[in-house]
Amino acid sequence: MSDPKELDEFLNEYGKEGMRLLVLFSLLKSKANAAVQPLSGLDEGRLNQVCMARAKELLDLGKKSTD
Amino acid sequence: MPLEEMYKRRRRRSSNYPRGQVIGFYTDSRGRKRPITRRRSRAYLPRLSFPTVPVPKPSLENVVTGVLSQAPIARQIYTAYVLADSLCENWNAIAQIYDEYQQKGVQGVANKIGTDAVHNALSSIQTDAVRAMVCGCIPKTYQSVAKGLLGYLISTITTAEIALARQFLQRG
Repeated sequence: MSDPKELDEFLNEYGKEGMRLLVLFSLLKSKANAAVQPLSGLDEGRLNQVCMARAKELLDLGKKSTD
Repeated sequence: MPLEEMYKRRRRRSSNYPRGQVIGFYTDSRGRKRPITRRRSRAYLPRLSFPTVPVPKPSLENVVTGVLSQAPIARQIYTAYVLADSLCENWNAIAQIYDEYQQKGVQGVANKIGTDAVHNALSSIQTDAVRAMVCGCIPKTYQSVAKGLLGYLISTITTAEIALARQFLQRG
């Protein structure tokens, strides 16, 4: 893990919701990386933005369905 | 009739007459007078220009949408939720494992979660040590997916990505 303290602070602040977002983001990014890898010119920052936005959408969708 | 005039006339009648400009005459092996013409430049040949249609690169949004439309994604999202919940529930223990690992190395982790688990996990100690903590909470059918996801989460998550997640959560 790159910085456990950073993650620890994040978890204390956002709890389960934050961890869900991070795990969903990791899932989407790993999948997108596998799909994009054959192509050149991958913009890491843009990929992070897109994956995080989609992960947040999924999280909100999950929240709505449980409400 | 002069030779040049004769060729000019012939040009009108026959298509065999050389098309280029006649710059002189020579006598061939049979004794005939033949015209010498300028070589046609290559520029005479019609240049074919094919229209180039730019093939658009698949945008990242499309790639992520494609990922979300894959068949097993629903199961993986479910696994992600279960994994996130398990990590949260066991976070204190996981944090302790990391402290032990940083202070005492593998032996410290072995004292915490059991020697067998550590010896089986020497290759990727961080991932498997955490997996040993949370695997009890994850259904067996989802454990392989969870392992891959956990490995990715642990080995590649960066401070910048955590900061990005914080931004998105603050936006609400």
